[in-house]
Amino acid sequence: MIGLSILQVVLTFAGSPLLDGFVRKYIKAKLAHSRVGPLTGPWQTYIDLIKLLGKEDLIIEGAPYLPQILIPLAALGSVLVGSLLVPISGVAPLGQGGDMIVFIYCMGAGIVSVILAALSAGSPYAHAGAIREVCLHLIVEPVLFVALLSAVVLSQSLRFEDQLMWHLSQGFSLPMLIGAVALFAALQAQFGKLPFDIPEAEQEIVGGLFTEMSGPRLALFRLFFLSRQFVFACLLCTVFLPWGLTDIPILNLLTTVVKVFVVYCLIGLLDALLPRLRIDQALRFYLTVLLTAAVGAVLAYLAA
Amino acid sequence: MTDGIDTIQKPEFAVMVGIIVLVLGSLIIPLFYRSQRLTGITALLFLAVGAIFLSVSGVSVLISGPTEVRTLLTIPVIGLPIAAKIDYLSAFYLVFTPILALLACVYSIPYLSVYQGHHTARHYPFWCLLLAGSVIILVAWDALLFIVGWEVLGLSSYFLITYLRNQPSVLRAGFRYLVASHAGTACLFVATLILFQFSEAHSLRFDHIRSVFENLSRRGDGWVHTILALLFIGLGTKAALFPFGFWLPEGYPLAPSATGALLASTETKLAVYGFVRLFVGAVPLMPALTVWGQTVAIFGALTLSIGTVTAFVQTDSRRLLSFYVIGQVGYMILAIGMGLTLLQINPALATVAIAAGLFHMLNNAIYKSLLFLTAGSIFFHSGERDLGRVSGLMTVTPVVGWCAIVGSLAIAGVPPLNGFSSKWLIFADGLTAGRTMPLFSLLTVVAIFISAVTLGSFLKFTGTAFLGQVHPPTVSTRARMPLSMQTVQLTLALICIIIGLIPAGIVSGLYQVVASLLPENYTPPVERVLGEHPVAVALNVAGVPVAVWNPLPITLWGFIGLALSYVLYKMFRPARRTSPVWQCGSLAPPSLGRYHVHGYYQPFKDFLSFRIGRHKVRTTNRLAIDPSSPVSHIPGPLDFGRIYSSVISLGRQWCEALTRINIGVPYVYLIWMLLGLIGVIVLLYVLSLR
Repeated sequence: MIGLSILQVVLTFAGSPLLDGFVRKYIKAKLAHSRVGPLTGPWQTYIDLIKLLGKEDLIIEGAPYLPQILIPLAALGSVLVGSLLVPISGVAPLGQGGDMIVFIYCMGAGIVSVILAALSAGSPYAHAGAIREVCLHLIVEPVLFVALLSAVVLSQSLRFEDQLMWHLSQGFSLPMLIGAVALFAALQAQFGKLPFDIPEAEQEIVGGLFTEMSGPRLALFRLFFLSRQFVFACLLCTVFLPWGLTDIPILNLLTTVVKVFVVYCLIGLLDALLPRLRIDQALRFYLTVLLTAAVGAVLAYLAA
Repeated sequence: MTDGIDTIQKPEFAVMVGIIVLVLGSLIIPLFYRSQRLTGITALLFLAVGAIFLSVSGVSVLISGPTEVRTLLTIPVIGLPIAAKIDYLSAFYLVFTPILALLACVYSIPYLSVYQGHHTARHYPFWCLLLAGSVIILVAWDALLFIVGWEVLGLSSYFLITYLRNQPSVLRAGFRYLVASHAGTACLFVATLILFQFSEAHSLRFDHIRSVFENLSRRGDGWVHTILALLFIGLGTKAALFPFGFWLPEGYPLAPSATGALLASTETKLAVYGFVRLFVGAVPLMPALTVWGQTVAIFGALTLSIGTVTAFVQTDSRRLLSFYVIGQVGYMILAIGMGLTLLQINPALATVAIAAGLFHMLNNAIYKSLLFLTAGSIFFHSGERDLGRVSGLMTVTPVVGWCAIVGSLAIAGVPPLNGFSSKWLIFADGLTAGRTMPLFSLLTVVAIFISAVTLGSFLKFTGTAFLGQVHPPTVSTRARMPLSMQTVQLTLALICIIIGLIPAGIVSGLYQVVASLLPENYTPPVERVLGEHPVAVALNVAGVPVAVWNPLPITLWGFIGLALSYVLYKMFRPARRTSPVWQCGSLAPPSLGRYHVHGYYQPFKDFLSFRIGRHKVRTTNRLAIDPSSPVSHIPGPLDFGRIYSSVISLGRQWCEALTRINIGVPYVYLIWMLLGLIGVIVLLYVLSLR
């Protein structure tokens, strides 16, 4: 189990920049924008991160010092826990330690640390970004819960593993499909990609949350968002689309990664094609998603 | 001789001594009125002695089992016994309530010096009385003594709220509090009278009340529903349930913060105690209970939504926290309501739900005290309550800043802090119970959404007041905060973390506390429901765990992640430099570029308002910035405060009309006396005819 945990952590933190680089190169640049640019290939995200890690670290003067350093580090810790709670290989290494609620709140804790770090800088742009992030979080978190509610009702358990096993054994079910659609919609906000990169919105609020982040801390935050994307995509691909999983964990890991890859491509395509929404439009969009997910949950109650 | 020692070692004796010490303290403290400092120290002394006795008695009951029912006295003419008993539920409260009161008192002694011109000799006696009243409520084993404690609590907290009475708004809020409190007590009293009327044993002891309910329910549900409704309103008023809770956000913000911490950790929490004591402990399992369970749960969900959404738009630190007192009580009442409904459907889940409500109550008492104290620290350093006028206190007092972050994250339910553990239990129970009762799933999802709103408010609370650059600059030149104030906050923050890391013992203990209120062997043993793991809490249905929360490995992995990211951070040995905040290249001072607190979450506030035809409904009003202005958070028809005060003012008008009789002319008096005499004679004649 320890080996599996380490493998999962490595996959989350090392694999996610690779997936992102691939999407950037082949989906966004080549397919959507037909761009011929100096992207070196799928390694580009790695190169960016390593370069940032070596750059100068700017601390804001007059603002509390420790939160600026310590809180960004906590963000990665929360994603690490989250990645261990998702049954990427069919079994969650930390499955005995936490269920769906723990997972959602741990991932929420990551966002909280990003926001606290942004607020500790005291920049008005960071504040604007933080506020947008909170507003988005307020509506996306219920979407996550309601989407997972169908799984809870049908499988009669809050643990991801039980939900996965139930879904595998029962085959296709309509409430789960609706839940998957809702979760996919929520995923876009969790990815922080267009059309929902509202909290960063470089053109409006100059990077929002990250305005005052530089060098290694910016790299850590980038890595945080990348690995977070991977974890949420894994959640969609295991609990809601569990097909193809077997008894062999390593094989399952590969199956899930392939599925996650497809999800990344889809979200990358949307990112390349759609313009950014305003925050109020995004809130309204997610309200619709929430209601759709609620229909799924009601159907699940009727089926159970 | 051995008898004497036995008596002294008994927990009843310790409680008795505790109450006597507190009452004596309230009498002796005013004698030291010449010195503010001496008053404080005397108060601390009495509170400390009282609190030690009370907590020790609580611990000894938890270890050695409940005491016997003691009849203190029998009221002569009607033969009504007044009884007291310390059972597990009382003992649980006895352990933490006095300690929290004591911690708040340690903080308040230096803190109250901020309020010049108000004498603390008028303040501390009521701290002692409030604690004594709380203890009377806790040890009461009959409804009459319970109401007596309730009144002591209400009156003393009236005097605590109106401590800063030179402002008219304080007196107004205090009056409304007094009226609401008495309206609540009146409901309890009427319910008690009805119960007494039907009592065959002529007793109001809780175990006798149970049989009264059993008799009544055989005759039909009319009286039962009436009594339960009265109890609900009476307790709901004290618990600040919507719509009876209007008094709280008016009263609490006007009291000093340390007093706010005391009130927040006693008053509403004892109302939760009342709910558990009366609805679980004194009402037998009957169909009416299920109906009232659902009502209680729905009111709980309403309260938590309305309280929290209203708090979301507040910018005054103390008012924000006061609305959160309401919002958080909603969670407990929701959990207890779910438990009451499920008692006859699924006893295991029901017991867990009530235990979860009590656990949340304990956690809330701790982090709410902490947050009130940090709000006090903001005021201590800046003289401001408005979050918009102060920022960057973290640089001035780092300890308090971190405590504020811990408290905020705890109330927002960020793992692995204590607030998360209890919320997790409530949510897991609600979602599991939702399979049989879909209503509870809905209420739980509402509670989960509101939990995210809580997070938003408290990011605002810490983000504005503690993080960022120091503003106004005068803050850093003020006196340093005394060590005692910092220690209290640090202690509370540490308790939040420790309870969060090892919740299992408390949860299973509370399960047994609730089970002890129910008929014997009614609930399955705790290991079958919550698992046998020493640290992890698991919710088992039919022996299979459906939800688990094990804080230790999760925290451990979190710290491993933190360490790894520190390695990454240091890997290339980056240079470090400080730089000013980037303001688009302009050289303006940082204070000009500050993001004002009133603009927080505006998109979401707009999102919460909707249109019906032409009429735009704003669920979150933009409130007046002036903290002393009255709060308008409840739609007109539901503003019970207005209804109560109009009834009171009507009564006052009648009384004034009656005083016009007195015009000072002796002849008129003589006429009145003559008329009265004739009236009495006629009355006596009529009575003698029968």
